[in-house]
Amino acid sequence: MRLLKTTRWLAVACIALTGIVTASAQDKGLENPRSTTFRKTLEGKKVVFLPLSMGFDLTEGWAAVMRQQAKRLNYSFEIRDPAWSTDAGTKALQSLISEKPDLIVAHNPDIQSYARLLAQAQAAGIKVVQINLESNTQTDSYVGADWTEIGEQAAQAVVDKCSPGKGVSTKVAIDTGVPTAASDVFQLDGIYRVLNQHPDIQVVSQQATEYNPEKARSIMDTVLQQHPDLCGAIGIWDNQDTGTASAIQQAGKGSQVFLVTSGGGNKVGCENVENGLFNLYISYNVPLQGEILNAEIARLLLSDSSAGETKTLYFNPLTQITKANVNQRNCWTLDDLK
Amino acid sequence: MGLGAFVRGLFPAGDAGISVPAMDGIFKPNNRLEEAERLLSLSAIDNLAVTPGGLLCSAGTRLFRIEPHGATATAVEIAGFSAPVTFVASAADGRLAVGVEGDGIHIGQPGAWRRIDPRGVNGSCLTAGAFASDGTLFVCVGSREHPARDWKRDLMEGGASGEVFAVGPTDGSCRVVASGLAFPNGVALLGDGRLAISESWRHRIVTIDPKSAARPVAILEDLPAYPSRLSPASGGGLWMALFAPRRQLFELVLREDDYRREMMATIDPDEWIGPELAGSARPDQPLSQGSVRQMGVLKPWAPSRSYGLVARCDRNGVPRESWHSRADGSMHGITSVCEQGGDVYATSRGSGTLLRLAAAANDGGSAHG
Amino acid sequence: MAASDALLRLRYRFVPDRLFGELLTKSWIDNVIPALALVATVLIMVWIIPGFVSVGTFSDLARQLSEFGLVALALTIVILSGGIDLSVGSMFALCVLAALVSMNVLGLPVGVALAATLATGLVCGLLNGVLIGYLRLRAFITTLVTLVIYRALYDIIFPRVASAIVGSMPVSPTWDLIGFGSFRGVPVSFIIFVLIAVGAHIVLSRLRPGWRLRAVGGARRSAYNAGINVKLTVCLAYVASGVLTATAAFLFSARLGSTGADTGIGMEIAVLTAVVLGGVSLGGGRGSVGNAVIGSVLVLILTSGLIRLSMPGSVNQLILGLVLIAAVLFDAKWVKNRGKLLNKVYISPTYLKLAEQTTRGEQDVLAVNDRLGATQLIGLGQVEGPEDVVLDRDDNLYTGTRHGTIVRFLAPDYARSEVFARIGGHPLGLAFAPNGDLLTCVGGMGVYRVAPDGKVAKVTDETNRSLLSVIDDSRLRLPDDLDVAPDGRIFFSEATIRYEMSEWAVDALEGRGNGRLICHDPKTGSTRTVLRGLIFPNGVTICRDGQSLLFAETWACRINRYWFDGPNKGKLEIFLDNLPGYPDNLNRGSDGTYWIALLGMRTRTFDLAMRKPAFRRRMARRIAADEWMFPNINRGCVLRVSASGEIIDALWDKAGENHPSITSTCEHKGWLYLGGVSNNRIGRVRIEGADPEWTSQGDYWGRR
Repeated sequence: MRLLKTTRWLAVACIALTGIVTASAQDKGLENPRSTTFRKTLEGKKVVFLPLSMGFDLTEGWAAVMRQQAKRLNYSFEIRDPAWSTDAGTKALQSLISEKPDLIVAHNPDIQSYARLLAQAQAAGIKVVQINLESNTQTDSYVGADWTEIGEQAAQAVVDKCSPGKGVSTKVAIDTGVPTAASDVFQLDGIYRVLNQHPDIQVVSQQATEYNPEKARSIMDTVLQQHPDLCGAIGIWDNQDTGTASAIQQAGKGSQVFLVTSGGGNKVGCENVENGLFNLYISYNVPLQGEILNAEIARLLLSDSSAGETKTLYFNPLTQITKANVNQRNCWTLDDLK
Repeated sequence: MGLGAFVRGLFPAGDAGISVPAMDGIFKPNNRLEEAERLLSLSAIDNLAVTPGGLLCSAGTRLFRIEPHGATATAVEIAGFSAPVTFVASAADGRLAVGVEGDGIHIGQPGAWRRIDPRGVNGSCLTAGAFASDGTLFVCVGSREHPARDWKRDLMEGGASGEVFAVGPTDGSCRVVASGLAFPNGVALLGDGRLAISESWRHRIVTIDPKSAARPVAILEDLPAYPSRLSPASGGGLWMALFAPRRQLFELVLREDDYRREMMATIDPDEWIGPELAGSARPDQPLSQGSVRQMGVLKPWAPSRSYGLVARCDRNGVPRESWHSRADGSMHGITSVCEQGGDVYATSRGSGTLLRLAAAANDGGSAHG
Repeated sequence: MAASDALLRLRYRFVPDRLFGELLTKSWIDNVIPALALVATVLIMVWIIPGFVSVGTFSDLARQLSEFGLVALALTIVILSGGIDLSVGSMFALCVLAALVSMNVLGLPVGVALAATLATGLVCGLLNGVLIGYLRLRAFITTLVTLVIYRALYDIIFPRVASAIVGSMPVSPTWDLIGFGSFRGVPVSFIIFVLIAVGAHIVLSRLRPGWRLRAVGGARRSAYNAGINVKLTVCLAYVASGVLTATAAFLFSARLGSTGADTGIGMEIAVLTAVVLGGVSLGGGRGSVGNAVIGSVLVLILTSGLIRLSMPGSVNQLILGLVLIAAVLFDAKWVKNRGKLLNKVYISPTYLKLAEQTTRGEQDVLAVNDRLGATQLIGLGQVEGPEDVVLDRDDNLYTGTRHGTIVRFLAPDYARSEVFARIGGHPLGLAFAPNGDLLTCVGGMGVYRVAPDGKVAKVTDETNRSLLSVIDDSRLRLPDDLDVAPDGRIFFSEATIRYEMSEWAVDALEGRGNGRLICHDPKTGSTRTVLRGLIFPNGVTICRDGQSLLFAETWACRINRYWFDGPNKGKLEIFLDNLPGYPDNLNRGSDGTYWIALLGMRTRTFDLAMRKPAFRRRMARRIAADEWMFPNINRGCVLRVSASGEIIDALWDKAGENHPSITSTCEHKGWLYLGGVSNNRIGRVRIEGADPEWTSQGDYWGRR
């Protein structure tokens, strides 16, 4: 390794020397050896993205940003799409372990399923970045939202609207996604941390929607029938909560029920805020996550440390979008990223 | 065309199954021909004709008058010719027409024949004839290429050179009314002046209007056997003699050009695979697997080369009744059937027997209608 | 013409058309097509995915196969029973839940967790089994309903325990071993799978429960009539399915330690695809563990290959769906048409040129006469299929019948008869051994010996298997005629190795050397094939020199002489060629002559067809068997030849009403006895000028 490095430096030195010789005639600037190394190291590397599924804003957004950098820096970027199937995802991950790419970007369906496999992957020398949904295993890096924080912000917003005397009642409903996913497990923790300090807030319903807007719609429909005086609702993901919102609108309680949701901050979510479907939209900003992800990918690929040696994480900042601050800067479309 | 048929049509037919119409429906086999009264045994008995003076029949080179005596009959020779008689027809006025192989048509009465030698037709293959009410004689020529006795060769060569011509009532002038037929082998006049012709190799009955140049129109197709001579049935129907059965093996050989050509070139016609007028005792005759005698019994449904079959059609040309002599019988090779005075007679040329049929059902066009 | 004939002959000698049909008769052919599909898939994957073949791929595949394959086995068992189990996916999810709750939440030992998991599967399977087996509900609807029910249960329980499951990891080395461990590089879970699969294979293919399962699946009513407890068998199939699914779920839990809302969703389709693709017939009764494994590997390779190709997930599912449809379609067509295809391609005619028959005059020795027209009939209507006739020293007449008996007609008038022995198959050739035992070739069975008291014993029913034969030719299919050499060795002919007794005539259409001459030595008890590639070897008779024998090659219309001993040992020459008919049995006659029974007469049209194999093949394919061209076997003829092979007499049944197709003769004291395999009578006729004291027994073994 050392020898290799020395040779490499030697080579760079030689090139630099010839550069000086040829440059003596006219000043053409200096070659930046770090730039060359940066590019050379990244070139030809292999990065694989294992999303929950392709075909929705978050994964498409990240993929678009990651692909851009891969193109720019000339490393290969592939996607293994398990189409919402945990089983297919584990199979893909398992075959990736034997395939040995340089880096895996994993999007966990729940905090357990990939946990051991990710550890195995790192043991096999593959660096692993987890994106937005963590697993129990901490890997080289995690980039994404701090779900606890989202939960706290959402709960705080609902508490502000539904504390005794502020809303029609103190009843709050929670629509979760998949009970074993990080977004559920940690967000609920955040929510209850706040709610536990406000014992007057009543949680009248807490059901899993499996990220399915239709299911979310029917759940909220039922909740509203049982509790026509519902004051607030916390949804776990904007895509599913379009269903929640439409149930609220259908019941004509758009102004009564305060709906908080979170998501990647894409244009559709923003429009829903504008339309008054979502009252508060906590955005974890996909383009930003994508850029951080890119930085992490580049950092890890350049790093000489072996997989799993150092574990870092970065919880990216959140933006609270309401009708008041919906603007171009906070929202994105896929075309913007491409 | 169904999808299946269409798909099959896309591929060469080399392996497609070959089927022949089953003896079914109105042709459901029975033993009525086998059990019919056997009036007379006369070798090579062939064509029956009803005249005012009684029933005539041809056999070999001679012409006989049939004199029934209850359950038997005797044959009285009334004329002899130099070559085998190929057809006999009789007009309402008692005039006869006799086709003699290679010796033209003899018209008139025994002893007072007027010979007509139709030009441009094959005079040795005059297979059938019938007089119209105006005295015109219609004659079938089975094939332009072969004499009547070589009918099998014509079949194997895929012959379709048969003709029908008309002989004027007075001047004896000849006029072809139809050609390109596949062995016309029987003719009868229908009530409206049209002719019914049996086209043996196409297993069908066609009608021809002698007054127009219209193409023949099939009225009865896909017969289960090769049709032979026709005669009018009382009540406007039609009697049909069918001289040999159709078999899958024959149809196969007819499609297998290479095999058939070599068979025709190297083997005696008697031993060919193909229809026959009678079963043969010779050990060198071809056999189908189903015709093997099992436990001393030859199954009646065995695929024999010869068969006896007579059918009666109503005035619309729809078969109404059939008489059979099956593989285990011997009244095979029926070449002629006619109705006289309420009785129906048939000739089994294969066995040389004159039969009187027990006619049954009555549907408006029957023998006793 | 000659050149093209020569080409034709070469083409049929060197192109083994028949192999295709023979391969199709093999029962393993059902597995071959899925296996070929598997090989093709692997090759394609290797071609388009670089680095597909690696140790990692295989250990990865092995791990996946252990779970997926177990569920495939479960479904295979149910499909074999004639049902279907759509609830495997939901059942799987419930069992995973049971395992994880036991391990992660309750912290139970692995053994207890396994028991709990299996119990869950058992209960689920039992519910299916009772509903379908005992309450006779439709399998499809029932398992569709239980699919929904089990899934609903899962959906109710799962959210309540989800956090608890993901919140803790059990500390259990056994659990980890099952999940990740490997033994000499082989994943432990795969070893578990292999053990279960082998066990299931043995149970399904070798043990009674497996046979019963197939019987029930194949023909429920027949199985019931055969005394099988259909209800119980069906019920147990579902229980087995539940337990196997639970086992798979246990392995899954150990591997992932977690579950998601989607666990098991869509599994039934993937597994169904695998099972059908592997060749398990949805109709029930047909399939094996091998099928399930092949299908599973195929589907796993396909899915993981597609994922590695970075195909969008929905496209993967679309492709799997299309594959399932194709497999189901193929299965339906294959089951329906395999027999048909076999019928079409099995018959494989070859080129056989017989010498031109000479035309014969009235004075020819072969001229047709009617000397057999008025035979004395024996046993008319009492015997069916007397292929061979033989007389003992007391003048009693023996013959075999197609009812599987040997009948004895008692001298002197042969009016009375009795069943001498019951064999079970149709006895063909008969001959007396020097000790008075009656030896017989039994169609479909072998060579048997009947002691004078009627006791039956097997002599031999197999010979050495030839190396290059596709069909198993070690068993005797159609032993035809036999004779005994002076030293007691039994020489017998086997007419064809390609057809059963009932289809012997089809062999005529092939005209190939499908038969052989076999020798059994009672001293060593060994049976060896002496000559093979003979064209329907039929009658066998030992010559008077005690060193050679004559045997007939029926479709070749010739008699051969073969020396099995003495200075000419091993020599084979034509004794009599270009016979007018097809020789069947050969027997010694008085005055040093031999009798040849002619089974049928040659016809020129058939001779011509024998030179046109393609014509015969088309005939076999295009027209019904009853219509096939055949030698003329409706006439009877017997030839008498001198020791040097000259035809000296011919006896005919001109009309063929009493004795068509004579298959054997036996001269005895001035009479000639006639048998026919498709006849219902035996005939005897006086031979003018024959020695009235001559008997075959005396000629062979000397006078008593």
